[in-house]
Amino acid sequence: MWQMIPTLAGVILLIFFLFNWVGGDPAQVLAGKISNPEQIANIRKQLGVDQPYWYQLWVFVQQVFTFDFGRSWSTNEEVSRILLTRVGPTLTIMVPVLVIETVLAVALAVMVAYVRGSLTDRTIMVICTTAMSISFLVYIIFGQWLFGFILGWFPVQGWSESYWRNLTHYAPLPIMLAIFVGLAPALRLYRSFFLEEINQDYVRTARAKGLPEKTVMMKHVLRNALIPILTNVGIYLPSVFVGSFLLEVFFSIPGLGREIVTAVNRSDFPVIKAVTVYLAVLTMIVNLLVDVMYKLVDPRVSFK
Amino acid sequence: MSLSRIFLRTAACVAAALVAFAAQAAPQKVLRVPFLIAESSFDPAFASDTYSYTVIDEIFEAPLTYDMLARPYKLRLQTAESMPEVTEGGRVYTVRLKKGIVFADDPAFGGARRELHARDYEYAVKRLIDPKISSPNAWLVEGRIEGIDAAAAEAKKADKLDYDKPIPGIEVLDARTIRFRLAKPDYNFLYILAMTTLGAQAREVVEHYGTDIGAHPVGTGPFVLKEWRRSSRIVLEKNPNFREEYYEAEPAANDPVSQRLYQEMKGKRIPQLDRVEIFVIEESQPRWLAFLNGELDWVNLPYEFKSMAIPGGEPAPWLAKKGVKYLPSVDLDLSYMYWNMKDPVWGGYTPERIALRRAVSLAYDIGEEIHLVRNGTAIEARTALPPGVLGHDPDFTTGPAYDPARAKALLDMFGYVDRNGDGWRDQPDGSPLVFTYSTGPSQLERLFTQLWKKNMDVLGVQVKVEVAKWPDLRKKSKLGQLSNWHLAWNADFPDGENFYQLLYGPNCGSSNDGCFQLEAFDRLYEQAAALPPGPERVAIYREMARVLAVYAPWKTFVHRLRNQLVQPWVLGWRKHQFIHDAYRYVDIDLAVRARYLK
Repeated sequence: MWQMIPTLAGVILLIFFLFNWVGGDPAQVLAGKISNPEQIANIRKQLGVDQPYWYQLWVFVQQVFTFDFGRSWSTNEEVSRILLTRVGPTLTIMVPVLVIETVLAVALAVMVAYVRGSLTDRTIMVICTTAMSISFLVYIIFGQWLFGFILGWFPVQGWSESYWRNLTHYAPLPIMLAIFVGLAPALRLYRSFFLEEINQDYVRTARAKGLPEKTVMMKHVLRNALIPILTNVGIYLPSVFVGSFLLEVFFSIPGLGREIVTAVNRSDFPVIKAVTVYLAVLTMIVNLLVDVMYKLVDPRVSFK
Repeated sequence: MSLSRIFLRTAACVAAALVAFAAQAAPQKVLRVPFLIAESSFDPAFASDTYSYTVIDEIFEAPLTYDMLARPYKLRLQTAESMPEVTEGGRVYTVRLKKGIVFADDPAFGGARRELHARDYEYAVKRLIDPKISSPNAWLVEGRIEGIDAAAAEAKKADKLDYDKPIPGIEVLDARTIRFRLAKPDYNFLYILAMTTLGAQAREVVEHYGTDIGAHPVGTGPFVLKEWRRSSRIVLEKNPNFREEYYEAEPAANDPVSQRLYQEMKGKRIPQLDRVEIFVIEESQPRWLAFLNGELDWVNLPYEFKSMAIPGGEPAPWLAKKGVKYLPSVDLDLSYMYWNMKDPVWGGYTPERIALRRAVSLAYDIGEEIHLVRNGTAIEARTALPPGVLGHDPDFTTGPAYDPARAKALLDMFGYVDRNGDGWRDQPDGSPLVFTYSTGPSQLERLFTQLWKKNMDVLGVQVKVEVAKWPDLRKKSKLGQLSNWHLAWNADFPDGENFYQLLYGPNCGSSNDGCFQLEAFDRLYEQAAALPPGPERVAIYREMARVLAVYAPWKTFVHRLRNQLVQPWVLGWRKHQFIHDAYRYVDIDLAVRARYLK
């Protein structure tokens, strides 16, 4: 847990130096069509980027610990408000994606691993490899055209103020496409976890003892394979809170992914800082939780 | 109470309820339109992007506006009672406001009706020089209004603007009269008075909302901001306090499209729409598919769908069958590349440097840019001024824009030849000649880079490509560290001055990035500014175009074409360069919409 402090310090330093070296001068973005040196100097003064680096870094550290990142340089909106209003749409898409994709991938992986080497197994693996070779962008463009425009099953794009309308009307198509894309690699990976467990001695022993195959697979193999699966889900979990830029842009979803890219394009440092720090903290917390869950899943795991 | 009176009262109550019910039940006229890029803020002093201003234009009002259909562009009265009185040779502008204009209701007014006051315009101007706002629009008033530069300098020094301190050049004569005294004669100030940046703002509203004012725009315009989910959805609703005004316009007699639009709107009370829903759709595919699905009422055709939707410049039969209207127009903009006139290799006013710049311009295949890179969505810019801008001369020519043989001959003549046998041309003194092309990382910019590289290879000039983010390039440009840079300029008003100020010598360090400083040009610029619009000013602009052709401080590329597609139920609308989407002048035929979408 104490490792989190140096990690956070490293993240703060990295963001600060990256922004100041390669981030571009925000005053140039905000100056408008016609500017002069005095105007640029005044904008820099208002933003505080005319201060010495050590002072700017100190302000950044204070912001991290007070959770107050001030206002967006490009829209003057409070950064905390930006994050709060954008995270909802992102989670509306990404939580169902994570849950459905994980459940489907685990279920299919158990089945495929059980019939390993069969025609079904080989066919599914060929489909997975092909599906993985296609870009996410192609899925989105084709899916939007086919399901949204040609078949008219879903709206082409949009978002509303109602959570239920979003979940039932606007979110299904992006969720479905994200699952299409994520399912193939997850299925292949989880299948390999199950295969590794199936070949273990304890499985042979369980079968020799005459346990039903269902019990062997669902109780013994699944439980042991859950540790690497949890690790994989843990790695993926922070991205749930950041969202998918492509999905959000193509389906006009006002989520965080789209906001991050806009902030980078506008050199909007307060937003970039807040999102990066928030993501780093989230990643650390998720890692901690995953470690705790190892213990729950497998009592042999020790924290020592 | 007699029975008849009871009956009458009951009947009146029933009738009132029925009217209220009918009003509620009447189908609303809702316009649904896309934005290509997210808006930033609805504070006229803080925002400067087109999309934010498309909304700001519907909420705030400047004293003047533009006629929706008149071409050449023409000013009309908005909150002004009559055209401003211009005296002292274009130095003094007196504006008288109409009676009875009120702001939209807002809690900041404490429940009272707030009438427009001339002070609201003074306040809007002052906000532009407030150092706390750092307005990107300060250039509209700085250097123009007498005493404003001193007030701005004082405010910057104190890091605070004293709003109660008068500015000598702005006089509020009474509640409905304001007078602007300019630092020097400027007949284009009328156009500044038509920009919503100077739209009336109530001080109490700005002070009430403080730093959140960008989310609470309150003006006297025909719409109010109803809902706003940033970067996603903006909803405007009819302002119930908007004054009684009826549509009027002056379409050109030889323009059948404008004539049709005029007939569609003539005499209607504005605004006709009850509600406008704006969706930020950055990607072209969803925008296009949503338009085809009838979810959007118009779309600026994304260039990648051009050959499918308007092959040969006419709507494809399948689109025509849907009743879609096609409205092409040329944007009042210019895409150009400046040469840094202080650059030791490419700058300067001597014949060999002029020949070098001209040769590079002649070697660039503008046709290929238009047809391959831009998919036909642009026209060649022969001068700096686009069609529709005062001073544009359709007959001006210096011969073919693309002539690689002539380009090579020019370089040979002035000693830019290969002197060390490496296959690339060198400078007359033997040092290498390198064309450094500074550009960004986008797909479109990569296409431009390839085109430049190809053309310069043919000319024998070595190319070095410098890729950087736009803010970094802009910083370098302002510091004079680039030898050239590809830029674009959108007209703020339809006069050549708005483009030629980019080449005016004293603007070196601000808008004149290439630092072109030629006395003859500057003199012409000053002469034109002191003249009212008319043939004399046009003649000076022609002379300025000639000077630019001689010295070649810019390579002009294109003016962009807009291919607007509009649903059959939309009435009265075409894109306007200066009042943007002008929702106030749009109507919807609900019966036609219902017929097409059933």
